[in-house]
Order: sequence, then structure tokens, then C-alpha cells
Amino acid sequence: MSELGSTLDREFDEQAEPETDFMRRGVVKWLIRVVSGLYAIAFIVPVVRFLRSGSAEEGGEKVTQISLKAALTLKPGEFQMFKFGSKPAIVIRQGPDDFKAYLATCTHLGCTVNYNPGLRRITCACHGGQYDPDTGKNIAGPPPAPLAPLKTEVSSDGDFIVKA
Amino acid sequence: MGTLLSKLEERLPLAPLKEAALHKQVPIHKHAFWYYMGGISLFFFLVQMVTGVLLLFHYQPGAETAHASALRIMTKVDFGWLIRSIHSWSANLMVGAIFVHMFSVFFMKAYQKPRDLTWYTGLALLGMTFLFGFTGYLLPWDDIAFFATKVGVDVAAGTPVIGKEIANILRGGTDITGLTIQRFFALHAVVLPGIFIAILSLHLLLVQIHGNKIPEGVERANAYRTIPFFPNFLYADLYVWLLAFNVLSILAAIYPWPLGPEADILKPAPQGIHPEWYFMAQFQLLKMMPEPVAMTLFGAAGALWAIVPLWNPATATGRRGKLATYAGIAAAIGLIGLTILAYGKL
Repeated sequence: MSELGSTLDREFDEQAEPETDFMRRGVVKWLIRVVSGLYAIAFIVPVVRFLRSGSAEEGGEKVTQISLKAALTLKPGEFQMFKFGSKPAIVIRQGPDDFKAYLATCTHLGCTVNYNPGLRRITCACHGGQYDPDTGKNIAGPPPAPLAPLKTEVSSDGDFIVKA
Repeated sequence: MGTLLSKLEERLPLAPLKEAALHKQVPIHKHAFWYYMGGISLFFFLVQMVTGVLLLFHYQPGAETAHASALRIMTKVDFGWLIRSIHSWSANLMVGAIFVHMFSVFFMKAYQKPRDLTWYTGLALLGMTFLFGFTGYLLPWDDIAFFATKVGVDVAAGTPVIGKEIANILRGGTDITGLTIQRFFALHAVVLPGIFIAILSLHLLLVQIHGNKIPEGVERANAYRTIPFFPNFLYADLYVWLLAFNVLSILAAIYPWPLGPEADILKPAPQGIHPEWYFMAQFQLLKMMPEPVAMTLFGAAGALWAIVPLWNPATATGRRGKLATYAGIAAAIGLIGLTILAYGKL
């Protein structure tokens, strides 16, 4: 190489050095951010998934139908609370063949409702919500929606069945 | 933002603290490596707090549920095996780090006045760490947990006068039952953390007040320089924490902590049962001699160890300095020797 060539090379290096140093710093800073981010993910993902794990997800099977023979012993105007899966539910006998069943969770803020035979209303003691026992419709107080209805039937072998 | 900070400043004067943090210097010399040990112990304790709170969200004490919930954490809960494994591994690493920390403090003679109070608070923290280990060990309610608690409480019952009473209070009766799990759980997750954090705060405050002890030889030869705590030493500290975190994660992921079969009082103790490594020296002594002799021997040595600031105070001549160093070497050899002997005889 000529003398001029090496001089040019040296000048190029001198000019370039601060540049590469600057770039190296940039790369290191960027790398530190990426690695810190990976550590943060490696910490947050297991913790959130650990906390989200619950026994409900493990049970798996959702209850869609239960047998409730005891309801047949109710007299008209009487009611009974029962468990539909893990949820509270209510069945009211209106007449000889007239049963009404609902999930007993108030649609306002989740209290368990009661049946008031004198008033002929399903009532919630927490904030005074009232529902029509014939339809489950919210008719007084703060509840924003009707009670969730359940289907009832008497099977051919004389069992009382409640279905979602 | 600036005004919010100044408003806070008016109510909570942080400026002197910031000033102190900026001026704090840490000595650097050939033994400065050991200064990291206290910080590593602290790191593992913080890991215990975080993973311990997480486990609280799934663990259920009680004779019927303790083992079932531990099993559920290990097999059903997402990353449950990892969280429990980290909790167990970090407990062991914490004990190890505290041991190394204590011995390095001992050999640097950092227990001499005015740091003697720091030494005593440190010993209290070590004792409470053992209690954490002992009470936490029962909670999964597997076979090894059951026998470890039986032996441990029996040893405590051997304490003169009050031993039996303490053992009965710990167990909630004369037998280990669901009530024992409940009590150990209360101690492990509520009582001990509260007391530990209070003593730890005092310990750390004293360290801030007195600064790092420079070993005599290094100080005499003036063979040290100082670096600012902030940010230089803090960054180095955090870097060491990151290393500790990596080691912990790798151990916990590759060697998940096992869970034995549920405790059963009708099952004989399994062959080769032994305590964790940090109780192996005592375990060996218990096998070699009658229990009262072993415990008296260990107690006496421990007491002498604890009061070293009294028998080796800082004096101009340092006349007992050599004796203390030899005592430290003897203690290390004794503990390690007994531990090796114990593992050899398994």
C-alpha cells in the first residue's frame, strides 16, 4: 500500500473510532433493556399464572342437570333452597304441577335471595330488590336484570329434574 | 412532578438521607469480596417473602388439607412446583449465605465495639432463620416433615424446667396433630416474619451507621481504597444479586424440591432419614452421645461463639485476636467435620 493509502486508513480509523464506540454503547444499552425485559417476563408470567390458578378451573365438569326428589313433597306456596352445582338455587311450588326454579343469586350485587310467600315475591334482603316468582322478572328495587331461570320437569319414573 | 416531590420533601425530609447515601464510601481491598455475603443473605430473604406470600394464596393448613394443598401446588397449580421449589431452595441458600456471612464477620473481627450490637442482632437473625426452617418444614405434612418435627420438638422438650411446657404449647398437646400444623403455620407466616423484619431493620440500620469494618491488617498496611456506595457499590451488589437469582432459578428448575407421601403416624420412620444439611452436625452429635450431653456441648460452644465481643474486645495489643481466629477455624472444622461424618454414615 502507498503511504497515502495508510494515511487515509489511519484518518478513517480516527474518525470512525468515536463512532463505533458510540454505537457499541448504544448496542449495550439496548441489550441491557432486552435482557431486563426478558427477566421481567420470566418473573411476571409464572407469578400471574400461579395466582390465576384456581380450584374452579380444575373441577372442569359444569353441572347441567340435577335430581331433586324432595321438591315433590312441597305443598303449593312452599319453596326450597338447593344447590345447583356450586351455586345456590330456589324452587317454588305454585300449584300441583306448577314449579318455578331460579338461580338464587340476586342480579344486583350477588346476595342470595329469599321467597316471601305472604308478599308472593322473591326478595333480596341486602338492598331491597324484588322479583316476580312467576317469571323471575325484576320488578322493584335496584336489580338490573331478571333472575336466571332453571327448567323443571317430572320424569317418567317419578323423579324431579332441574336443568340449566 | 417536581412540585409533588418538593411537597413530599416538606413533610418528609429526605434530603439528609440522600446526602448521606451520596457520601457513603465502601472500602475496597483484597478481602472486600466477603462484604457481599450479607447482601446475598438479604436477597434470599426477600425471595422468601415474595414466594412465601405467593404460596399463602394456595396453601391450606389443617390435617386434612395441608398435604393435599401442597400436592395440588406441585401438580395442578400453574408454576406451583417452581414457586415452592424456589422457596425451599432459597431457604437453604439463605442459611448457607448467613453462615458464610457470619464466619467472614468473625474472621474480620467485625463484631468488636461499636459493632457488637450488630453482631448480636445478626445472631438473633440466624436463630430466627433456623426457626423459620423448622416451622416451615412441617407445613407440607409429608413423612419427613412429620419426623423432623417430632425430633425437633423432642429436643426442645429436653430444655431444663420449661422444655416440656414449650413443647406442649408448640404441638398444641402431647401429640403432633392438625393443631400443630396450625401453630407452626402461624409462627412461620405471621409471628416470625414480624419479629424478623424488625430485627433485620435494626441490623441494617447499624450497618449503615458504622459502615464496613476494614480488617486490622489491611487498615495498618493502608492497603485499601474507597469507592462510593452510590452508584458503584450498589451496582456491584445488584450484579451479585442477579448472579444469586440465576443460581437459584437454575437449581429450582433442574432439581425441583420433592414432596413425600402424606404423614402417617402408623408408618415407621423411613430408612436413612436425616435432617437438612445445616442440622447434620447436631444430628451426628446426637448419634454419638446421649442427648443431654450433645445439647449441652452444642449449647456451650454456641454461647461462647455468641459472646466473642466480650472475650475478644478491641484492644491496642489485640492480645486475644489470635485466639479468636483459632476458635473460628476450630468451629469451622468442627462443623464441617461433623457434617461430613454424618453424611458418610448415612
